Amino acid sequence: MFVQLALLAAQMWLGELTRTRPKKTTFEEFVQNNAPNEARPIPYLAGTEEITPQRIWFGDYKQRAVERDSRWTDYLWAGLSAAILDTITVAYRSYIGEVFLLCYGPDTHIDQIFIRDRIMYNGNGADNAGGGFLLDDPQAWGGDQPPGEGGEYCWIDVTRGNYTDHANAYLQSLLVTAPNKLQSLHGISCLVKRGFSGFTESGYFDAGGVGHQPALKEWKVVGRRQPNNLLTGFHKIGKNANPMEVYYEHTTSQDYGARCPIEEINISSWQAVAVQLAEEELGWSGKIENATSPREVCRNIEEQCDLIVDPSPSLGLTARLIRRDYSFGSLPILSRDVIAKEARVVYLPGTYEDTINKVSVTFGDQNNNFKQRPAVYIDPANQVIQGGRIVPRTNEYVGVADSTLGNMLATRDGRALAVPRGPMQVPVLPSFGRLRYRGEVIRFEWTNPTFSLVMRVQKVRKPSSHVPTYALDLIEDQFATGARTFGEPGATSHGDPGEALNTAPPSASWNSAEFLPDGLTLTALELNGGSVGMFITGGIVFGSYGPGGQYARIYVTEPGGSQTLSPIRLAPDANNKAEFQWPALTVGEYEFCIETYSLRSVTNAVKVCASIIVTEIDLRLLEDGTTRLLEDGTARITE
Amino acid sequence: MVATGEQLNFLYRFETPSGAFTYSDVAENQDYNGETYRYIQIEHTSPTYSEEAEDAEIDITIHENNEVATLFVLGPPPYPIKITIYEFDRESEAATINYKGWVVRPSFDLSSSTVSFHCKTVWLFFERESISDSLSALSRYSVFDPRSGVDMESYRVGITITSLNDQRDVLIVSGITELDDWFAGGMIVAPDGDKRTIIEHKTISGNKTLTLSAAFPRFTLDAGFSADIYPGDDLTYETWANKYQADTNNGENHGGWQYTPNVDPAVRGVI
Repeated sequence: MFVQLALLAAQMWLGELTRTRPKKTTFEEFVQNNAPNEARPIPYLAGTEEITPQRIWFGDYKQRAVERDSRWTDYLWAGLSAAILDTITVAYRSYIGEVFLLCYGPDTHIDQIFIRDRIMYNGNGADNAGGGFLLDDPQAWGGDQPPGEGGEYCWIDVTRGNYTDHANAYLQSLLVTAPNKLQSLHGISCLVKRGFSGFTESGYFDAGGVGHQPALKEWKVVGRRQPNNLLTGFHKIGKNANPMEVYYEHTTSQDYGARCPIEEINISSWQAVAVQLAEEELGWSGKIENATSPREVCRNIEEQCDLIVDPSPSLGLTARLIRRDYSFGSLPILSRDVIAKEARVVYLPGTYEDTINKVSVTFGDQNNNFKQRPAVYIDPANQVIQGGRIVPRTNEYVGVADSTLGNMLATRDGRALAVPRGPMQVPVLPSFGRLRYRGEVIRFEWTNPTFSLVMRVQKVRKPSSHVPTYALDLIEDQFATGARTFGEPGATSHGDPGEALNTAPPSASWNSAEFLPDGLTLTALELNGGSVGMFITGGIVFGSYGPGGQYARIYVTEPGGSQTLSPIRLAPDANNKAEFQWPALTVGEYEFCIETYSLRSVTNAVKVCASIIVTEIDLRLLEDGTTRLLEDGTARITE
Repeated sequence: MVATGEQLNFLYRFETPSGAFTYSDVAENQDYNGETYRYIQIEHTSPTYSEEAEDAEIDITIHENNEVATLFVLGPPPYPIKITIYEFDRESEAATINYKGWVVRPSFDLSSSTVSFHCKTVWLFFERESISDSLSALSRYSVFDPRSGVDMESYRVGITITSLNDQRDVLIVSGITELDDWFAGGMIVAPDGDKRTIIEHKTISGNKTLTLSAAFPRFTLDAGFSADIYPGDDLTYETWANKYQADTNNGENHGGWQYTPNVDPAVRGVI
């Protein structure tokens, strides 16, 4: 038994003493074991965004032996001499210094660091540009005892990336000899991981035993930049940057911007827009890693923010937001009064054919490890109108990195695109046109057909030597489709030529001078076929009426009957007179009342009446056809 | 609809570092804002302000007999020319700015004796590639860039042109005391401000000789003329840290980085 145990212990000792020992890896071998990489453009970052930074230097390489850590089982077979095993090298810890290029500066703060997708640092929103912090996770990959592959422990410096800070002192001591100085990488924010010589135990990144080759790992860094060049104090919108600050950087930056002179910018308008965007919580978080142009970036910001930046000849680059920020009553009126003579006004009412009913905005969600997600808006009303036809559009905004903003923009765009809005081109007089600007809202009023629209100015064409008028390209404002009117019942600018007809004409009078005795005369007339008919002939005189368009209606009360309105309408002749005839079929008193009306049927409701009595009706035909009146004022026809 | 009721006239103001040239399309000289606008045959196309920057580009056509056209006859002037156009009301003598931009390209119609200037607004500045610079051993900007922090005026050396070769791109000059190659990669500035890059700076047969990137026109630079020259820059760290050590803080301002490894084992295929 003891012999067997002794043999086993001896075998164990022999195994430990003859075990293959790990070898050091030289820096040259370390370099050779790595794959080539390409230099990448220096990225731009604003707001909070994740980047995979380019490793622009590594060095200060060092390896240290790792001795075996005895376990309690070792003491079962080796006794107290197991402590000797702690001197056996079983692995090497590897240390290295590194520099990562983050993005254009200045003032890039580090929120999080991931190595091989394992979170190594969380700054919890601390501002650390120009400062440093410790990465302390030595067991990250299993520690330094085999089969572990090490961990991470290092001091990190975050360079500020401005044009005044000096080079990193740690790198300076390693890479150049005085009096020369290391490049301070002006304008670029970097992350410097100190190696072994830069900080106690710093640079530890790998460990391994026999056959293990140390390998650098992929880092991902969540950076945060919130520049404040406009000095509004509204440069931080949550984790995001203010979009106008991003616009400003791409307009003025010496490194990646347009280098536009400051004096060409209407700064106060930019500041006002920045404040409003902050109030709306419309921020910008994004990165640009590939070649582009300042104009392209700025246009993307304009689309994201519904922003217009116009090169006003008098004010400079002026920023305005497309918002529902007006009252209808205060809008300038665009009517025929300001439209150029013989100008062609073209209006194309929009159709649903041209509308969009599904809008997607894709973004990397900063609240979910920057995984790509879509924000979607569907307009069901539009889809039903289009018979179920789905018309999608995907809008790409560089500066969207959270679902709240993504949903806001998808909804905003979806609502605007789901309603047809018609464009219009209108040439206008210089006095009106020179006051107009892109993004302005005006009220368009038209007659024949009568309608009004609230329109937003899309383009302003200024006059030239050959075209003396301004021309405006308009589109119905997305916030004012409810203000559309057609055939508006209220007042319009239309001049009504018959407005005076709304006043009632004066009452007419009976023409007693020509139609005795009281404007009514009994007359016998020969009818077709030789018979004779009795008729009452009435004559009236109209009062003077300026508008001229009047007529009279006759109310008749026949003997034994009640007053009825006859269908007769009497119009005045050139002498303002008129006459009518009424058949006298029975004897008795006939009453006639006249009431005057304008051509718009407006009356003063005063009836002027006269009557006549028919005492006898003899329908025999007189040979001479004469009529005889009775002395009592009545009339009859006799032989 | 009513008639315009206005007869529009325009005033044109070309602004150069050497002064402003002012013209009017009114058939007599006009005074505005302390300047006299000379009558000339001049007209322009309509600028349109829209989301497309190109819409605001215009062409100004003018009779070729004018000072601005003269600037372009012997080559483009080495400085920007700003243009401001006013709408001018002759009755009230009031002016409203119609257009503001930069002359970017002339076009001479020699048969009709006119010249057309193509102009762009401030969007001109935005026409450049960006986010394309990467870090390399060479600086991403030269010593003549404001980012370098180098005061190039302090390096200016006045010279006199002794003679030129037939092609006029090799100059023998006097006034240089620096060693050969000091001005290679630098710049020579003619009296009218026109500039050329100095390709080579050598002493040949005892003569200080400068080889230029291209010849100057005869009236710009000739024998006996004075000129200014500035030392050159090969964009390397060594040049910045030694030749310009005082202005670059011993190379600290250099815009390059010579330590980028050829390998980055962690990131593959990421451009």
